[in-house]
Amino acid sequence: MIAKRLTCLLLFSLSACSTTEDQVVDLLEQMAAHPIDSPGWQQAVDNLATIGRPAARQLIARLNPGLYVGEDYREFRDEQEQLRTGCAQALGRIKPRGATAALKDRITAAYTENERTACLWAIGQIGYSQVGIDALKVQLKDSNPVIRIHAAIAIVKMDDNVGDDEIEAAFTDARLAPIALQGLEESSYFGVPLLMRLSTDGGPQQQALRQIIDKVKDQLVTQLTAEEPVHRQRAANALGQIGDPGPTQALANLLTDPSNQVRFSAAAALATLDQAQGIDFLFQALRNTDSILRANAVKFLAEVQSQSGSVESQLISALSAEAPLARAGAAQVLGQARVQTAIASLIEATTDKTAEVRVNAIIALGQIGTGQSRARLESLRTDDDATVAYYAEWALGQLGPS
Amino acid sequence: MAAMKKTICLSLFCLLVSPPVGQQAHAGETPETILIRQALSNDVSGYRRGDSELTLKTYDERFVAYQGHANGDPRAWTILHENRDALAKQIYADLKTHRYEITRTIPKISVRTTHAFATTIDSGQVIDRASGATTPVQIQRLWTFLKIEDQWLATAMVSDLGDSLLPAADSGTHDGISDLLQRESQAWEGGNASDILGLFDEHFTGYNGGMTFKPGTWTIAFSGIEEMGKWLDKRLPYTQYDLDRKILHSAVGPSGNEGLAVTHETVAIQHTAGPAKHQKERYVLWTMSRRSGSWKITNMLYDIGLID
Repeated sequence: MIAKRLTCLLLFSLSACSTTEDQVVDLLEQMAAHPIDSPGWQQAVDNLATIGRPAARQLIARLNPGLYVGEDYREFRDEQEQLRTGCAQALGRIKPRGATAALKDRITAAYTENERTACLWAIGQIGYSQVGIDALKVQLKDSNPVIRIHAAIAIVKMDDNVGDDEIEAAFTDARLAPIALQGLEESSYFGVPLLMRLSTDGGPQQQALRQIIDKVKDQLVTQLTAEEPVHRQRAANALGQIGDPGPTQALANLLTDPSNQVRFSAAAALATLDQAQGIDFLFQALRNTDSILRANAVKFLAEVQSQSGSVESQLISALSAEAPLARAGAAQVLGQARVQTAIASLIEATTDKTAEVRVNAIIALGQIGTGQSRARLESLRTDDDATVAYYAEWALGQLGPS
Repeated sequence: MAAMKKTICLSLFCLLVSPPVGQQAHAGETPETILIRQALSNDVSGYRRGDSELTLKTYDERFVAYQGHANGDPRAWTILHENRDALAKQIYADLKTHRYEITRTIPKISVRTTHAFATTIDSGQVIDRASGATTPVQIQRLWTFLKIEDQWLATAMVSDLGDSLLPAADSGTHDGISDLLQRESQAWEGGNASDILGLFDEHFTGYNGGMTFKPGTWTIAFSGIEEMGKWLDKRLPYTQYDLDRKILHSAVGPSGNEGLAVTHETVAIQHTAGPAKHQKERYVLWTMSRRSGSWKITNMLYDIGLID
């Protein structure tokens, strides 16, 4: 009975495979039968992307020029181009990580511009891999600016900024600017730092950049409810960088997210937007007895302070808080964010009755590195607490010779 | 089990014939290329030693030799020997009257399943046994091979292959060849796979010339009619072919059993699943044989790079 069931299962699996393969073959023929970018060709790409991973193997195979011999022979180069371009586009939507190796071999000058740009796009969509980014960096030196801009955009999608200059330069070229804009729109949270920089430096295409930022913002709000915590976290971070108060409630909803990193990213974004919920969350965490939560609070508050300066007064006030953990944490953040206006308060904190607070205040003074604290640090070299004395010596070393 | 034994024997043979350490090694060498290299070495060793039997071991019964006339353009090529016996007669005569002090380099070997092609350059000198007169030799050849029962045998060779395109003399049109190629063209337009395949020899080889006349960049597209049949089964339901073919050159051998031709054609397809049309012009080199009774295509080289 079991054997019979297994046989049925096997036969069913085989017939299912065959059906999918046949479906893919028909769609590839449809792709070959329609010019690139025509509705029929696009429909074939869409349907292959809908089939998803079961189609990936056949699509990857069609990228390889060595396939087009024997029973897969196709004698027309433009027919191969239709297939290779379409398969790359479908793979960019399916995102099988194993496709990058085949795609990166088709971005060289031996292939047509359609094929190269489709493969570059697909590599970017699939996301980071060492082999992918290495190949993309080579294409940044290509003589064709269209290839360079597509390579630069794909690099942004891998969270690397080595192609940013190429993208910035594209905004002065009427043909390249739309490619750059579309690429940044597709780059989601990875493109936000560059988008924000370009939109505030007064360069060309300001109106278009603002429109793209609005679109990306809408995408990011949707991603706040994504299944993968890493998407929620990065979306929250990026929304904080955009600095628009619109998604405040959506970010606040994440303060109870099951993931620590998501909660802190949402709180940091809210704090950057000067929203009390986020600031309170981070300062509460700064007082928490859980060292991991405190470390996160310090990290995120330092980022918020560096980015927006919105928590400066609260941090200085926290140096006088009742809880020693809060005082010590505030000193850490002020040091990491190098807040010059906190020097007097930090010098005062070096007299704190709790040694941990004194140590963190001394470290912060060393990080800020102002001569204003030299006299006080000199006197702390002989502090009764060996750790305080040790860090006073260290901080003086940071200040350099008087 | 038998297959395993065959594999072990083949591996052992490859080990035995592979060059010892210190001798020339070749990048990308495979068991098949080692065997083909060995066959080509046997041929030249036979000439050097005056051993016709060793030389003839390289050649299949259906072997055909073409004369390239130092021209890369096959419109100048003619038939030299129509079978192995004709070649053997020539070898016996050559070895009787001449000594061969030649070496052979093999710049290219390309293998696809049971079919292969190779290029060789022979250099050195030929010495007249009677007078002692020497003639320097520098000759390029193009070879085709077929694997038969684990042995690679030469099925064709173009002697004195040129590395440039030179003028070619006008040639007449041979009715048998013309008829074969026109029927082949019509069979494509008819869209019936068996009509097309019926015009090809079982062991034919299909090549892609990649728009050059130099074999260094050619590839084998089809190894025999079985593989081409599989392609046609996939291709013809989705496409309608249109072929406009003009025969530019044809030649037949002394016995009229072997031929070659060059055509210029416009090939176009209309896809049944959509509006895309693909069209191109191409030169095609054909060889054909009627050893089985009727003319059959033995080699077909698409997209050979020629100029008008």
